[in-house]
Amino acid sequence: MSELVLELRNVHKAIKGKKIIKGINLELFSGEVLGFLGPNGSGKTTTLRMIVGLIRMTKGEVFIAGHSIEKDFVKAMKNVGCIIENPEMYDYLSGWENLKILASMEKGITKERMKEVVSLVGMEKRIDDKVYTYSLGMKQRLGIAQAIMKRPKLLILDEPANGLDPAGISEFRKLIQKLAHEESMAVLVSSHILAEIEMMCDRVAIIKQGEVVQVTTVKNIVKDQGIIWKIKEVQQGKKILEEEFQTAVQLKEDQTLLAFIGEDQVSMVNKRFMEADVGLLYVNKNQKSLEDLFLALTAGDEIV
Amino acid sequence: MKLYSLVGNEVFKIIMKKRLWVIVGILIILIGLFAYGEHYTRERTQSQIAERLGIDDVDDWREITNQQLLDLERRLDNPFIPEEGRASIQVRAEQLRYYLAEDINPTTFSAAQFMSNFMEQSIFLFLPLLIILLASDIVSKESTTGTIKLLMTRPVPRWKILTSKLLALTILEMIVILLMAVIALGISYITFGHGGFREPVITGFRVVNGELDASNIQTVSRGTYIFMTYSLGYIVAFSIGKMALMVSVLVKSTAASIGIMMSSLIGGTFLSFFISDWEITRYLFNVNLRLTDFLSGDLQPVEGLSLSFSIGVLLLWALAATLVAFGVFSYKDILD
Repeated sequence: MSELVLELRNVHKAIKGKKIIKGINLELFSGEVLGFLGPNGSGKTTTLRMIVGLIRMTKGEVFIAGHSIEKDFVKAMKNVGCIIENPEMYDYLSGWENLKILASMEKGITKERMKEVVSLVGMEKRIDDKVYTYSLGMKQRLGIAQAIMKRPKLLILDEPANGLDPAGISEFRKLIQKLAHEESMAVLVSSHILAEIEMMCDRVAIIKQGEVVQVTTVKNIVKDQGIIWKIKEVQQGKKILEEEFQTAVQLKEDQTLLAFIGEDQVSMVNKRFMEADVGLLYVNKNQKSLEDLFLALTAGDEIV
Repeated sequence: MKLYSLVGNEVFKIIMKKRLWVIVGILIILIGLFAYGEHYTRERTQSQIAERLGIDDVDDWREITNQQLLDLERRLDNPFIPEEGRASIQVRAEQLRYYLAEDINPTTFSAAQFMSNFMEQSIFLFLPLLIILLASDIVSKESTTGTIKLLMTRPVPRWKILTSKLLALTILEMIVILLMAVIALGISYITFGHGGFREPVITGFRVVNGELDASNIQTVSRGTYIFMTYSLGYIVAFSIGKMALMVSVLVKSTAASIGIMMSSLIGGTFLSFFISDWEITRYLFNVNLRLTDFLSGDLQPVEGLSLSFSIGVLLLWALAATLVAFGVFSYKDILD
């Protein structure tokens, strides 16, 4: 049974009379990874900062595990692990000393648990070195370690893939999904890397000019994403799809055909194309679906 | 969350930042120079006096002290010396007379004398500068590097975080005073070679309306006198530290924070020179920093101050700064 971990109710923020956030409502349940998407200046980071109490709201409320962040800060923050923007650490201390200082500010983080998270993020070898010798990716790992060491109910990660190499990103993605699905953490991730969000998240919330414009499950996007065919005889292929499979077909700019059909039908279409000798070059899933959705929703958006 | 573990964290951070070692380095260099200078001036004055008296032997301190007393009395006859200056010369003359009467040799310079002199000379500028160096980045560095976000997203209320920083700072101010004492003692012992902690000092002169008031004079041992001057030093360190903490909360950059504190320290002292007639200058913290002068009987920059008044003003500044720091720290948005 999943439980409501984070709730934003009609959250507003104005800075010097300028409305930055205009009424955000959002719910996040345990065991779920929610991607938070938005162009620069859309209010992503401001919203994340309000959730963890770094910025005060002008109106509205945030509840973490049932506790109001403004009225019951300590109880609410007991359930939160986070990295906000960059993984800043005390660079004149070692990674281990950083973790020790932060652990001492929480209740019940044992030395064993600290060692466990250090190995979880693959930092055993460098943990006793000073942080100023770390690369951005290593700082990011240390940041993740400090965020998860208290086993929070809510994990907030702002641009966590920054500075990680491809292998690191893939490890990180597995770690996040493990935390969400096995330890049933609720994870809120903001990122610019759409493919990353798509692979990692269960749902995405798209924010534009201080408002959430769409919340949808990734499954939904993936289901609708369509199939692309690259063939020589474009018009003939389009006709076959339209007449024999009764589906709407788009002829795209790059002379490919895009159709929304079930995966079970794809092999039948391919067989027909071979028989009709339309010169089939390749067939592919439409990978840019989230990007398309993102661009469509945030089109013409200027930084405000 | 236990407050002492938070304070422990803050002390650990300050020590690991190595600022304290910079302060130790500055102290060693400066005290070394000061001790050498003091030693050199002493020898010169003695040989000058001996030359004037036409003697080779400067071993007879009575003669030299007598001569110094005569010099002072001659200066008092000068009609162009202002009333306030007159009183402070009178204090010095009175001290010399006392030494002669009590058969105490004031010309040999002891480690103890150096220690109290050093604090008397540092209390209004050098000591505040060291404290500014130590305290100015205590919050601003966390803002600049962004680690403030780490602190503020723990399940610890903001006031507790600032309290831990404030207490850590208060402990480190004490450590700075102790370092000053230890380093001054070590270097002066090497230079002057004799302790002199039991020698008596006369204190308690006051200047009231330009007149010397000797009704409250007391004799204490040099050791007690040192304890008193360093305690007064701690009061200065305490209040300057709280002001630096406030500025550190208010501005984001450490450089700006140090700059603001230094310019207000030095600027305020200038201001008090130029408009010392103005009533309000006595409430500036700058003019109340020379607490040790109330013990030695030296001239105050603004007339009519007393030890308790000056301590009161400093503590009020510290209190006000602390209140502002807490107010701002508890409510400010962390935007970057």
